[in-house]
Amino acid sequence: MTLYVVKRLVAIIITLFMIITLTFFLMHSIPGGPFTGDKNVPEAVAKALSEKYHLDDPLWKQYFDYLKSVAQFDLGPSFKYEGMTVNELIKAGLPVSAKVGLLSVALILIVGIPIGIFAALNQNKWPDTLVMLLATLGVTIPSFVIGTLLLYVFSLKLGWTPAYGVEQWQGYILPVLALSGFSLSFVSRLTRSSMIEVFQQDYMRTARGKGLRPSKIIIKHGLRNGLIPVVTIVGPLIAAMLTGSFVIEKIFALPGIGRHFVQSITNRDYTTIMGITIFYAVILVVIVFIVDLIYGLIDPRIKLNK
Amino acid sequence: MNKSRGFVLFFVLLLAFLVVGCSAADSGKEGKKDVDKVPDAKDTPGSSDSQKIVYVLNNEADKLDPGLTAETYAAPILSNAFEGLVQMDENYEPQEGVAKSWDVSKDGLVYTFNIREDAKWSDGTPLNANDFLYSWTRVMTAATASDYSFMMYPYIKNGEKFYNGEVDVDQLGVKVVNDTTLEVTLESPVPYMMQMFAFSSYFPVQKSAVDKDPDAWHRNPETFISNGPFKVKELKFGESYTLVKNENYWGKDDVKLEEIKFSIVPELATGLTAMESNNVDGINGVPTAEIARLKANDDRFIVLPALGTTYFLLNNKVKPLDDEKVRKALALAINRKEIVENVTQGGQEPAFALIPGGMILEGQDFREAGGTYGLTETGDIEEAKKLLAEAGYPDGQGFPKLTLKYYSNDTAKKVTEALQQMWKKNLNIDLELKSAEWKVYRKEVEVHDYDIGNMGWGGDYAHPMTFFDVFASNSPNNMTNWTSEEYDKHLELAKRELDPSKSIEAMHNAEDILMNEMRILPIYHSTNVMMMAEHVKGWKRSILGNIYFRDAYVEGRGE
Repeated sequence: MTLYVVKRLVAIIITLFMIITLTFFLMHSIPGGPFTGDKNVPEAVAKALSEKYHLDDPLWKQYFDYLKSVAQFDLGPSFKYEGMTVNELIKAGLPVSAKVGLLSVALILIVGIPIGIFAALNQNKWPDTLVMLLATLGVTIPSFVIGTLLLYVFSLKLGWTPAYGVEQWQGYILPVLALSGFSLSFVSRLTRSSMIEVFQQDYMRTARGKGLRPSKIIIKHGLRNGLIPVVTIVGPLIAAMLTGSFVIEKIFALPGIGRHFVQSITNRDYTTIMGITIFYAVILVVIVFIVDLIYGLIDPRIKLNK
Repeated sequence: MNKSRGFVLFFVLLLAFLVVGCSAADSGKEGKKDVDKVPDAKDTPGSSDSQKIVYVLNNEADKLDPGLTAETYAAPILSNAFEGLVQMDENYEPQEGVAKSWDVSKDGLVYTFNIREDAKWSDGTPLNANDFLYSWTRVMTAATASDYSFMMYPYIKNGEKFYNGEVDVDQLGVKVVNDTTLEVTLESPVPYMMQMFAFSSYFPVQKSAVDKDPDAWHRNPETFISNGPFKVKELKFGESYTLVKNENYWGKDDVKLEEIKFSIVPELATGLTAMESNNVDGINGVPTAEIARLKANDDRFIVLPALGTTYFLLNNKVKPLDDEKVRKALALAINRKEIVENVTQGGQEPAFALIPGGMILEGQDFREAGGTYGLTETGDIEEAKKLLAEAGYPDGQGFPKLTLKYYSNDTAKKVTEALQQMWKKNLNIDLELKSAEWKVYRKEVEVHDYDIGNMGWGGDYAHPMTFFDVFASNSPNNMTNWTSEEYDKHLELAKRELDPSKSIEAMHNAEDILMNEMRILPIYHSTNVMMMAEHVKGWKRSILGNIYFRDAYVEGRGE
């Protein structure tokens, strides 16, 4: 186990290093820099700006300087937002992105799993058909369409929720609904199919034959195995909810990280592009790692050491 | 570890998410407690005579340091939190600001400002001539890396030398005579210099505030000291900026609004939803797709002329664009009326020349005096065909397949496509469309890697020179692959000439060269489209796009 953890940690560091290197050089290969604005400035001014942000250094020097500061957890100053460091930018945006993301994860699991079980129990009857129809819709409609629709109905027509921002707690309702739509549908479909498969297993028939209560059969015997596929996707799901809110954050004007990520590329805000990429990469690899560990604990068929 | 323990672990995890999720939401609520004193967007329509408004902006400004930023996104905050030596009225005539009076020497080189004795910073400390000296030398110091330093150093005597580190501050054309007298000497006369003194780069900043944190003083309400009608109360990055009335402002009796909250909503459609749900009092822009509907049904929808021109760049060295007849044929074959009415739809004016209307010089609108250079709203297709045939391409035959480039932007795309169709239909010439993301596009056009390309210019100040300078030979923004000594000469004369009418004449001569030779293809003059609730009165938005709430007030809310 310890050996496995050490191996994985080394792999994580190598992965991150490669992500940093690739992103750094790809980013610098895009034409235009952080100070290519709508209008060109005189050469002397462009020179002063480059000097201030060390953009006049050779690229390899910029790269090693950056690696050095990242190793000290310093993601550098934003090139776009003067007086903000990328660390500050992430710190300011993370609470909002995390709240929306985690609330979505909670909603997905708490609502999605029971719906899936319910559909599986009513397999091929009308409640199943109805739930799966809704789930199919949820998977196919993109989140920005859901978001815009929700805004139209609940903010414009009914006036129940604010149109933007999270200064009031009600502001979280629509973004969370819009963000979780896809995964909620996905989780309920996954739970359904996995439960249906489990219901057909021999040990389930045995359990029924023993005369156990149906609720006990479902919870103790059915769910325990039926949820293993769901656990597998919880990791990527959390990562997706934390990092996948670019569009939602823009539509609902949430001051989160996702919005800065897309904007930073347009702005060629080099340090912000790098900083947020690294931040997202860390979240992803760490969550995948944790899920792998948990997976090994839940399913005894998986031996981590091998 | 057996199965059931793993199962329990899973549910513990699930529960943990729930708890984290909920407590996060709760803490969000707690965290907002202190903010609740700031009335919410939701509450404003209720309180009928509250002098508080919420106004939506669509972009986060790069910085709120007036000496450093060149972004229009910062302007709404800067224009209301700061004030220069003078302020400009609707007609771009200077009015008193920090200076209560001024003199200009006969040769137009020396400006002497009498600063009011009761001028104060928002923290109550006195503001005097030394503050201007400090603020301006800061802008003109290369190490400060001000994005707009070139709005100052070319004008001030020895400014450029100072920027390049060749002279000391005592040789700079800015002298503090005494606390209330500032003497500014120019390199050469500048007809629009009074406007520059009202421009944001010339706003004073407080030395002691800046010294506390030179890069980030403007990110913290504690160190954000200003001198205008409003001061900063709260700055929430990516979310909102809140200004409140500045009780230390000399003209505080004129200021009626207690609070302005600028909310940042990047999606125009969301801002519009907020406006239509009465969550906010005004929005700085609306989605193009909604303009027609709003124009018809909503009294709060406003179209204001803006100081900008959208034109198509021609690569004047590429064959056959090096032929004046071809350039004219292209210009004449455009139906500009159709473009502004059916494509852009934002109340834009068809453009027949570079300089937009709205700039009054010596009592006359420069555009009106300048004429239309043979162009009309709907174009002249017969004449265009004739010219193209004379150039050797009858009915478009043999015309090479040039590229027509634009940058990835919805309006730019639609306008460019419309032009491609018009030229095909009217002149039977085929152009190949190409697009690129803005910064990539910009670089390509700069190195003349284009034939015809979508471009535009927004004025930095309300004087034709802000447009003419673009096409000067030494301009970093002239991407036409064309330069003209004669054009440059007219510009030099216009800048140097003390007699206003001669200066204006020189500018008309310059425009004549550019437009008679059709070096660019003007398409339309811009507008600003916005919405403001009818209960917000007395606000102003200049043709440069700046919004001023100094004299604004709320009356009849909820009626």
